[in-house]
Amino acid sequence: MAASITPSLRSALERLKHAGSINGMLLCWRRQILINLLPFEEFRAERLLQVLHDARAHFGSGGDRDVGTFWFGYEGVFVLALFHGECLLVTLHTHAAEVDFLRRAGLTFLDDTQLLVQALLEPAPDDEISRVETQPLGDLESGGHPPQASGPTKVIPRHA
Amino acid sequence: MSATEVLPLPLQLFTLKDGLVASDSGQEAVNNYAADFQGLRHFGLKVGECLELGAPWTGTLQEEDFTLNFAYFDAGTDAKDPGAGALIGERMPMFELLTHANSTEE
Repeated sequence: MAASITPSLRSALERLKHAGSINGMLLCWRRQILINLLPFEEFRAERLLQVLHDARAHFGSGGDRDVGTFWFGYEGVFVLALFHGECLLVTLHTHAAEVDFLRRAGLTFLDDTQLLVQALLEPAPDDEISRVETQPLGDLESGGHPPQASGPTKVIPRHA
Repeated sequence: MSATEVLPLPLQLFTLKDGLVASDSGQEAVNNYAADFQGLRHFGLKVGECLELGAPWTGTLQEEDFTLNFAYFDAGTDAKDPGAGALIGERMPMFELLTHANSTEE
């Protein structure tokens, strides 16, 4: 899965990783890891993902609670988990005072990248069709004529 | 303000000592806080286990209109170590609420 991540989604997350005192990030969709930028092995990231989903399910088990943010502090590092729609963004950072800034930045990232995540999870079938049905430009370059359109074509003459 | 409108919970402070939760806010508030505190600390321990970070010295959960936290004083993170907690019926900046909890140490 990680290999097929669109470069823009990964680069957007890597740019966010340069904000504040961040030293690791994890982007997930449901219980699936999309991008792991944590300084830990993959199996630890997978366990972390499950625990955070379990925590959210625990507090929401009564049916009337929806915990969107968890923030834990450990010796020298903080873990901030943001749920947004079906996505989860985990951020490791070192300065406690930055947490509210990182929360807002993380939620903005999740808002802005919804379309990229959607495109990653459900590649549009139109893409494949258009690649097959597109007329190669080579025909036109070798003296061919453009296909006749049903309506008038606007030609803007180019004068020297 | 209409009669049916529910006022948001005011800021409530709690102390943690010898594994017990205490507060001036009443028994019901203590019971509700204790349940959330135990759950939050449990999952904080689980997260710490995953990443080999140890036990959490602070934890916060936040909903649309609710924020709750706990923090142990000094280096203690054991269930019986002294600490404090706070909750409020709004989405409050988490660092600010941590500052409130820490201020009860003085």
